[in-house]
Amino acid sequence: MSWADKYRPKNIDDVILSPEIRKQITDWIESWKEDIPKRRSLILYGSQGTGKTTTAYAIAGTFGVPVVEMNASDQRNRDSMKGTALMASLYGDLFVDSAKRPSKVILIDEADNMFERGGDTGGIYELSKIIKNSANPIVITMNDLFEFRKKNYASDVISSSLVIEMKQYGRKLDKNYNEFRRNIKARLLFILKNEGYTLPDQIVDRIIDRNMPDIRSMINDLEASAVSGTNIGDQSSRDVPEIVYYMVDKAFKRNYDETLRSIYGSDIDDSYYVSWIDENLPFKISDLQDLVSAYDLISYADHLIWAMERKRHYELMAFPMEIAGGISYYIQNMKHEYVKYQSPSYINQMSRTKEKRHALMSLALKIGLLVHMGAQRTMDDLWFYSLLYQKNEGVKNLLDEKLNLTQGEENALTRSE
Amino acid sequence: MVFNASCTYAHEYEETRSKYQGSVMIEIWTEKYRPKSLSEIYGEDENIQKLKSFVERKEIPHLLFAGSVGTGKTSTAIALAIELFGDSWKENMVEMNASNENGIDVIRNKIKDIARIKPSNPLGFKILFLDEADQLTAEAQAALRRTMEIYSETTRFIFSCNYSSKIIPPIQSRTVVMRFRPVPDEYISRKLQEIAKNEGFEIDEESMHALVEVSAGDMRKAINVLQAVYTSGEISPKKIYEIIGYASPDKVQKMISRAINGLFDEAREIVDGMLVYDGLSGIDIVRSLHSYVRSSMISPRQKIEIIKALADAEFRIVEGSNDRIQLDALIAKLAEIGSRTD
Repeated sequence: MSWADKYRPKNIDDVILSPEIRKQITDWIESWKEDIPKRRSLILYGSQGTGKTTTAYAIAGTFGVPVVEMNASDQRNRDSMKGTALMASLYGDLFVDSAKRPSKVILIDEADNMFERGGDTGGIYELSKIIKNSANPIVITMNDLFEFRKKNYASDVISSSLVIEMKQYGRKLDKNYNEFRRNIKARLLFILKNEGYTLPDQIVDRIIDRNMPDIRSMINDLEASAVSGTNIGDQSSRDVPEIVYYMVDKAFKRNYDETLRSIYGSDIDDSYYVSWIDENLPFKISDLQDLVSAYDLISYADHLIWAMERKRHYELMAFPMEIAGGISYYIQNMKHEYVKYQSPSYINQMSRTKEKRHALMSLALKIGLLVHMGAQRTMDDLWFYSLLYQKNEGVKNLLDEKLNLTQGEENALTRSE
Repeated sequence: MVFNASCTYAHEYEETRSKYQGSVMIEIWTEKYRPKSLSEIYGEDENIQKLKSFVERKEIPHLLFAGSVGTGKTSTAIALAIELFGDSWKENMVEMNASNENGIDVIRNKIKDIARIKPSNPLGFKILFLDEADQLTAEAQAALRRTMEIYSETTRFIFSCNYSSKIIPPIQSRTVVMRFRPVPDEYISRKLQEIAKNEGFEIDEESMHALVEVSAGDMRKAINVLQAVYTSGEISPKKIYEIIGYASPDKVQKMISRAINGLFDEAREIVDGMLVYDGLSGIDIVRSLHSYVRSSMISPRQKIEIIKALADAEFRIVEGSNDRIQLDALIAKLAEIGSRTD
C-alpha cells in the first residue's frame, strides 16, 4: 500500500482543512445526528489531490459507517444509479434501527465525468431524485463544478446540495496558506518518522512547494525520495521524478514482484512509463529475436492504453503498466552493462521543435484555405507547394501576397533552417 | 499525434479564412482548372444527372459525398453552387473543414450561427459545405442533427467524407448519399491533356502513362504532379517518378533499408527526425513506407510480410496509440522480416 493510501485520514478531525471549510463540514455532519437534514448531499469540488475523496471517507469514518462508492470506472446510467444508490439510501436501511442512522455514506466520485453519451444516460437525473429522498448522506466530488453544471439536471443536483470548494487558502502567504502549509509539513514529517526514514528539511520544503496544493503528490514524492534514497526534491520539474528511473530499472531486472510493487507505489502516468521503457529498450537488447518479442509486448501495452481511453473502459487501467513491466522476461540475452537510463528523446525533441511544427501546421492551414483542403491533408502536399514556391515566380508572389507568411512559415516552405 | 487546429491556431485561422478563402488562383492548376459547371466533372454521370435535376428544380436536399481523396467531391460541391447561385456562389456557400475545426463547440456555436442566417438570394437557402466530416466525433455529429432539421429552410448541408460508415446513421438518413469512385484513367488523361493544351505544351504517351499510374485515380495528385514536372522543366517518366520520390523522400528508402538490415538505432533516428523535424504524423510515415514498399524490389514474400506489419502499425495508430512506440515496434518487425531468408 502506498503511503498516500496508508495515511489517508480516517476521521474528519485528521483531514487538513481550513477553519472555514472544517466548520461547514462538521456542521453538516452534526445536522445528521438529529434527523434527516434539509441538505442531504454535499458537493466537494477542486483540483486533484486536495482531499475531496479523503474528506468523503473521513466523514464516513466520523459517523463510523461504511462508504458505498460509485466512481468513473462504474457505468452510472439511470438503472445502475437506481440500483446502487437507491438501495444504499432507502431499502438498505429497512433492517437498521432508525436510531442508528445514517448507516452509510454514499460517495459519487468524479461526477463531472458522468457522460450522457458515454453510457451514463439518465444518471444525473436519477441522482437528483435520489438526493431528495435519501436517508443517508451523499457526497459528490468533482474537479470542475462549472463543467458539471452544463449537464442536464446538474443544476437540480447543485441547488439541493451544500457546495464546498476544496480550496484551503485564498492566495499564497495569506493566513490560511501559512497554516495549511504548517499542517502539511507536520503531517509529512510524522509520516517519515513513522516509516523510519529521515530527509533533510529543505527537501521536504521543496516537495511541498512544488506540489502545492496537491497533498497526494507530496506524499508520493516523499515516499519516492525516502525509499529510493535519492533527492527528488532537486529535480527541476515534476516531469521526470527519480521514481521513474527506479521503476524502469526494476522493469529491466527480472523480479516481477518488485516491478509490480514499484508500479503500485507510484502515480506515474502509464503512457509515460511505457515511453520510458521504449526509449531504453535498445540499450538492453543484443539480438534480433529479443528485439521483436520485446516490441511485441511494448506496442501491445501501448495499444491497450489508448484503446482504454478511447472506449472509456478504465477497468483496464492496471494492465498496460503490468504488461510493460514484464519486459525483462521477453529478453533472453539481456545486456547487463551499466547504462544510464535516458528520458524519452522523442518527447524532449518534440518540445524543442514545437515552434517549427507550429509553423508547419499554420502554413498548411493557410495554403489549405486557398486550395479547399484541410491542414492535415495539405501537409501531405507541402512538397509540391514548396517546389512551386521556389521555382515559380507567380506562385511565390501569390503566396507572399495572400498568405502574409511569418518567417517560420517561410522557412518551412523553403525547407531552410 | 492528434492535430487540433481549433484550439492552437484558431486565431490565425479565422483571420486567414475571412481574407482569402475562395479567391481564384490561376497560379495553382488544381484551382485554375477546377470545374466551373457540373458537366465538366468527369466520370460520375449518375451523380451528376441527379444533381442537375436538383438544379433545374432550384432545390437541393442535404447531401453526403463519400469517396477517397481527389475524386471530385469538393469540385462537385463548388460546381453545384455555381450552377445554383451563379456569380454570387461564394457568398452563398460557406466552406468549413472538420479536420481543422472538429470540436463539439464548433458545431454547437459556429455552425449553428452560420446555419440560422437567412441568405439574401432568391432561392432562399445557402450551402454549408463541411469537408472531411468523418473527422467529427460522434458527439459532434449528434449535435448536428437538430441543427440540420431546424435550419434546413435556410441552410443545406453538403458533407464530404472518405468513409460514409464514419458518419452516424441519423445524419446519413437525413441526407442523399452520393458515392465518388476513383477517377478512371481515361478521364485523368483527358483532363491532363486539356490542361497541357491550354498551357501550351505536350505530354508524350509514356509520360502520360506514368502520370496516370502514379496518381491512381486521384485527380488532385495527377494535376499537382503534372504542374510539378512542368515547373521543373522536363516532362518525362523519369522526372515524374523522381518528383514522386520527392514526395516520399529517400529518407523512407534509407529507413527501410536500415531497418531490414537490423540497424535498429539508425532506423529509429530517421523516424524520429521525420516525426520531429518534418512534422509528419505516424500515419504519414506508415503511408509513405507503404507506397515505397509497394513499388520496390523486394521478394513477394517479404513484401507481404512488410505490408502486414504496416497495416498492423497503421491500425494501432489510427486507434490512437503512441506513434513513436508503434513505429519502433514496426522497425523491430522489419528487422525480423529482413533477417529471414527465403
